[in-house]
Amino acid sequence: MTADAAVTALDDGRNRSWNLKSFMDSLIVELDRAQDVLAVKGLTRPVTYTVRDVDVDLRCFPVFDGRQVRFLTAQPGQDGSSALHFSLGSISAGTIRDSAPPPPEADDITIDGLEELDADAKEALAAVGVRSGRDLQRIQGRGVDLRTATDNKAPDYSDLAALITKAHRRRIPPRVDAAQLSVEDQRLALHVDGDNLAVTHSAGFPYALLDGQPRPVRAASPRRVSLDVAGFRPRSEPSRLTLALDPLTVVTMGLRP
Amino acid sequence: MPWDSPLVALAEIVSACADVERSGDPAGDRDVPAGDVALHVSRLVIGSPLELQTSTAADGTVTLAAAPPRQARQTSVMPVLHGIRLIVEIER
Repeated sequence: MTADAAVTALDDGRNRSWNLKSFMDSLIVELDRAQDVLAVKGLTRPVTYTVRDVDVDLRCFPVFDGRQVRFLTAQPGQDGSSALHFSLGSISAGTIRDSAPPPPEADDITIDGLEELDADAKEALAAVGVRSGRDLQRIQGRGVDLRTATDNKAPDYSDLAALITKAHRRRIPPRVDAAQLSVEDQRLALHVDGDNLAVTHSAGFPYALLDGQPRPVRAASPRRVSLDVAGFRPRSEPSRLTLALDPLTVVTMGLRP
Repeated sequence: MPWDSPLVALAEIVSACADVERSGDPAGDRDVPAGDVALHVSRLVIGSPLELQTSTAADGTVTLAAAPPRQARQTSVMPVLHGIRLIVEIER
């Protein structure tokens, strides 16, 4: 029996393999729960004890499927297991804040959440510590060659930035409520009002076409985009306005008086 | 713990090991007159073999259940004994 076949035989449905992160997560959750119980007791007792360090020796069978290492916990009667030794030390909240990257914020786009990115690319990026758009900006600032670092498994910065912008845009889709004409500085202006219109700053955007003709943008904000439409005359049939708000967001609408 | 008792959440074993006041008599639980000197336990190291069950859900999350060794004698099929070592100290 080969090693793989032996491990498959061990993975019999009841005893399923786990990856190290899942195991550590559950171990830490258990230890945190124990600390919480002890912390409550600290409110009523003058002297309390706390678990400072924990070592765990685990008997298990490592399995490598070509992508990642997983482990099967040794069961009664199974010989030849390996020893996995964990040492967990206590760490204060202040030290965590100083040494760990900040947790994702509400508007952060995580690499894991990018639907268009394949699993290999996500794994390659996670392997070099890139888990969010902010991580990407940080390593881009350091001039890291992402394709080389990920063994050509991840796309380059501009492709990733486009995916992140797209995912971000999906969370804040543009909405057009109204369009109105007015005369400003003796020139005819068309104001498009709504929400989440010009939310990013990209060179050359927003870009507007009115009935196929490019029109200069006078001002752009998330709630209003104003166009210079000198010579425009509203007609009975709808005029077609196409607004490219950023490289990935194009809004097309028909305007009629 | 009897041999046929179920395994419990690992947190219960860890918090029970650190529950020193209940089993010992550290100075914090005694009424020590002012000026007297009393000894107290400042650090405990608890090492134990451990039966551990890992249950992996379909989404990959792992649940741990544990128990101290439940068999006093060697039987035909011995349980796998993992190990745990806890260092318990006074909380400052």
